[in-house]
Amino acid sequence: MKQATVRKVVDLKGHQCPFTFVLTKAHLEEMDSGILEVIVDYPPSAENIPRSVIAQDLGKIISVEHIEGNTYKIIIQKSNGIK
Amino acid sequence: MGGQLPFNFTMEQLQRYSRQIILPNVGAKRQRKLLDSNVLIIGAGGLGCPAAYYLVAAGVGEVGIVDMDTVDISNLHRQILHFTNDVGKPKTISATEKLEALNPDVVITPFQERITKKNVCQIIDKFDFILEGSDNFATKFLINDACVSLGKPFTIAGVLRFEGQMMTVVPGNSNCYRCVFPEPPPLGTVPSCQEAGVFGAVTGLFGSLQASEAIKYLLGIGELLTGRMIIFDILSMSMTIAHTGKNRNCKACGDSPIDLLNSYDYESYDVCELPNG
Repeated sequence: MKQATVRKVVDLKGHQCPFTFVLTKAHLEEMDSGILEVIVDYPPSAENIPRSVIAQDLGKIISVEHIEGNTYKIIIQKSNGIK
Repeated sequence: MGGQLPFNFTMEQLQRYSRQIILPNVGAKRQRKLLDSNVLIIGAGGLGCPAAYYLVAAGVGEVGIVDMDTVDISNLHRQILHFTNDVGKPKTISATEKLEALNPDVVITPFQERITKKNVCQIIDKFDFILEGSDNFATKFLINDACVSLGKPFTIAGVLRFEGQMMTVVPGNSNCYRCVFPEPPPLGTVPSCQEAGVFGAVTGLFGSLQASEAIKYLLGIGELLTGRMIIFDILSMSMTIAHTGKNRNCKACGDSPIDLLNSYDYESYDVCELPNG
């Protein structure tokens, strides 16, 4: 039987850079594998989080979606073996 | 943000350690490891004060401090945890007050006593890493021998006038202090505390280096200063890294080690000869 993919959503609205990345990194480190959805309302985080996740090899950016106003959703794939 | 935070951190902890967690080699998992670790500092003096400050600020979960002295006004130009109104107070208490105020996450365990060959093993046994920053050769050799005997990793430094030297030892994997210096220098060959003087910022430099060695060891990152001794002269701004090797005749870790803790006369070197304390 195929194992369901873990999907975790974290709402980081109200936080700014670089703390949004600190929280994203901590959540990714805690996950063995799966999908992390990060919601931010600080527009620079929508650019900075994906860039830092890639730079630190924490996961793969699936998408960055503009929801409304200043709110963005970043979807990150954490794979087995990634630190 | 709802839900439990990763690795059982509080939001305040994530904020406090954020500039450390953000580092590629650290991260939240290793920060948690640091909070679950402990370090023992020998001497709350010129080396021990800055070392303690950085270890506590970094979130090492427990920091033990051994010192039997009280604060003297002549300590204050370099021993940065002690202030003018602490003169006369035991250094362990003075240091504990500042460190507890700095970071309430950390447990400070003071040992207001002289470390001797009778109590050394009992004191160091529970700690993950030992930071030797005492002001005398008796203690330096005692800590080396006890750490080698118990397999405790440690860093050891000494500062005199404008110069300092330091090395890190991981017993079983690197040479020890006694491999480099088989015996303490003969009495009278090294100037006393009162004669030699010490440039305060040099103790800060080496205490900080010692703290970074402890943190690197606990986190399992980088390269330790093992098999090497760093010697830095800040007057000329010249640094030497001397490569050291295992001494097969070393009494502590050579081919035929002896039970130094039960046979060596540390007390005959028990004078303050290095003004870093």
